[in-house]
Amino acid sequence: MATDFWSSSHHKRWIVDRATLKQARSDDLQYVENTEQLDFLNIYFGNLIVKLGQRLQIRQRVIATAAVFFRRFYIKNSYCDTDPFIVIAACCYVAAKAEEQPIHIKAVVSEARQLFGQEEYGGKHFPSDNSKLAEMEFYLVGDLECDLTVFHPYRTLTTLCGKEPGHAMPGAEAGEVVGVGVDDGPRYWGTGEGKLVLEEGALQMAWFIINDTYRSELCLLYPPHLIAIAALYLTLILHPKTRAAVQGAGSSTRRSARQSRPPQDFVEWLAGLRVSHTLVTTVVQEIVSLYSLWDRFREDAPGEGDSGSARGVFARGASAGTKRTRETGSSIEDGVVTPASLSRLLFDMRRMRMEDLAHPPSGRPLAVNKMLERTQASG
Amino acid sequence: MNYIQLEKLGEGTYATVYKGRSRTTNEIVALKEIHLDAEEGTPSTAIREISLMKELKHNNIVRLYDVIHTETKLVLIFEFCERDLKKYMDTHGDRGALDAMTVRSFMHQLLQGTAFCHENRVLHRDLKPQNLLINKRGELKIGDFGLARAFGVPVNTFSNEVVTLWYRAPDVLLGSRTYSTSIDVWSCGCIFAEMISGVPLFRGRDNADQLLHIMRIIGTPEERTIRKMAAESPEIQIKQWPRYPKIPFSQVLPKASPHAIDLLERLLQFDPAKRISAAEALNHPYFTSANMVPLHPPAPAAPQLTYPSAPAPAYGYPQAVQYAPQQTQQQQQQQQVQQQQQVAYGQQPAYVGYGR
Repeated sequence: MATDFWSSSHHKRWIVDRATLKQARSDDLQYVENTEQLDFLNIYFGNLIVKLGQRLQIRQRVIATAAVFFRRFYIKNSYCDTDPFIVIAACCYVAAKAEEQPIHIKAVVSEARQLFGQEEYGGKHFPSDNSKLAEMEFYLVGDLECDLTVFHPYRTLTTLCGKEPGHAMPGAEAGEVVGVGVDDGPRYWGTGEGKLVLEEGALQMAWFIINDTYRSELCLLYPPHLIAIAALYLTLILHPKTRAAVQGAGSSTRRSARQSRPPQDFVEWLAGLRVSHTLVTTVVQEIVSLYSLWDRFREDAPGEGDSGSARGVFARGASAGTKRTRETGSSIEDGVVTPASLSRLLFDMRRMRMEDLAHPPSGRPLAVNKMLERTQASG
Repeated sequence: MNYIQLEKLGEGTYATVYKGRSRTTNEIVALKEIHLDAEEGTPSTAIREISLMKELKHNNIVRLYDVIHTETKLVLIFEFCERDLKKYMDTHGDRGALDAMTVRSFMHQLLQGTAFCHENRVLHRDLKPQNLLINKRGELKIGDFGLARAFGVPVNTFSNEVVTLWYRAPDVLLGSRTYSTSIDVWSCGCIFAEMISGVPLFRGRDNADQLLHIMRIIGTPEERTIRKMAAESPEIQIKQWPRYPKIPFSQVLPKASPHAIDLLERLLQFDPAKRISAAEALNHPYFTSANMVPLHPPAPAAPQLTYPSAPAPAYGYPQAVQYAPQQTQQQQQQQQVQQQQQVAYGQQPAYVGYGR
């Protein structure tokens, strides 16, 4: 939205390293078997934010902002010490305000009650009292240090592809400043020239891949423009037509391809971007591993959480081209995870945490985040 | 809290503003205390203001130093400015009118701040003298983001709602919801005229009346213009208006220099697509032409106004042909009109021709 990325709080304060994230999860780690479970929780929470956002009919951009708020909040807090469900609701509520698409607090409370009351989420009791959510919002804004302006990869995507966000894009940024085009002013990603010419379907896929990245902590680790470029990179490989074009360009020599005025040399275009390609590759790897993890995640109502996602395409694409063809049968069976099992895990984490706090091994009571405890206790 | 709360400066719909002093540095600040609603939480205007002000750092935008979050309230710590532009005009102006140098300096600063907002994709949407703060160094700072009205003790008796209306662009009055940066530019134009004359340029009672006030001065736009605007933003409602002729700004603001008139003309275009941008306006000869005294800082108090009695040499407008050569002739005509006006000026009150 506002201001330039390099001078923003997003760039200066909210891009963190892995060590920070590890530190942030240290309490939670005591109550899970392995870090993979925490990664599954990331998907689980990401899905919940999307689901609540869709129920509230907020734009994709607002959902993405809510997801970033959620991740940022849990840099400073742990799942076992808080009630992630009310945090999710508060994130959506604040994001809607910050992105200028305010929704009524009652709508948030009632939709959250319905969603989180479902059995797969442990039939959780969500407080019906508006003031509980308002109070949580207050703590949330505090822990976010009032940095509520968030940058997203969508802007880079549409700029690189020379497309103003249009009706074809779910959650297009229609409410934004009209008239100040993306072509005005300095661009933080600074490429030389030339837009990537992608067909609508491919652009859509890149958009969906970006949607999916919010199911991980990528938005805390990398600046949004790198995530956008990584999504484009994946699209070039996964989208059948562009893949064909890339392979076609690769088989003929570069020179002859240029003479015959090919549609566009995607590889050359990517190489021409003035970004660290090592970093882009790393982001691509992270997205790939997110998808392979997500492959073992089973929604109880299949397909429900998949709208606006490139997950299905990815699974097909991955098994098609490469040598490492996935054994679709056996490996999925043993590692499968469902929202219900994760809800149980979360419930157990919180229960064990409570017990530990009540009976600390040292005999001395542990320091508790009082602010959040109050919200929980009353919730 | 690290600040001592001093006297109350103003009260708005969602906040109360106090003067404050830092316990550590003794610096004077403005404390904007946000009223939290137990039911609804933090007002969305406050959220909006915080999220923007945390990122917008510019010399002509009020700086948000800090946000203090206590158990029960939210306090925004702002840079302190002595007064708002409205008050400044009342105390330093000649019946509200500021001298040419000060007008130019404030206008330049206002446009710089506005251009910065627009560059960063922020619309202020509520620019008006009460939201422009002036510190004792003569620096102008845009304040009150998030459509809030906390700063500035109301000077006149009109409700804030109406005050805001006076600076509202015609496309917005017509119902446009796809408005853009041009709405702030319109407000800048209104403020410009007000600094020159000391009185708000268009003082309507309500939406429809405000439009009539605008048309009585800048003329009823042609059918064609309205249709074009309606095509660009479909929400616009077309009505029949009386056909008012355009009154030249030189007649409305006899004190203004030809460059000032030309800039005003470009700022106050009925059709938003034709309005100059804030960044372009900064390159207008009104600011860039030769023989100009430095822009900043302005004289703190209003000196004698020399312009009406000694026409124009200080502004050297004939030299400024490089900006818009085709304008030169027009400017010369304006100059003639201006001189005729000045003859009239001696006999009549300054605001004759001010449409009512």
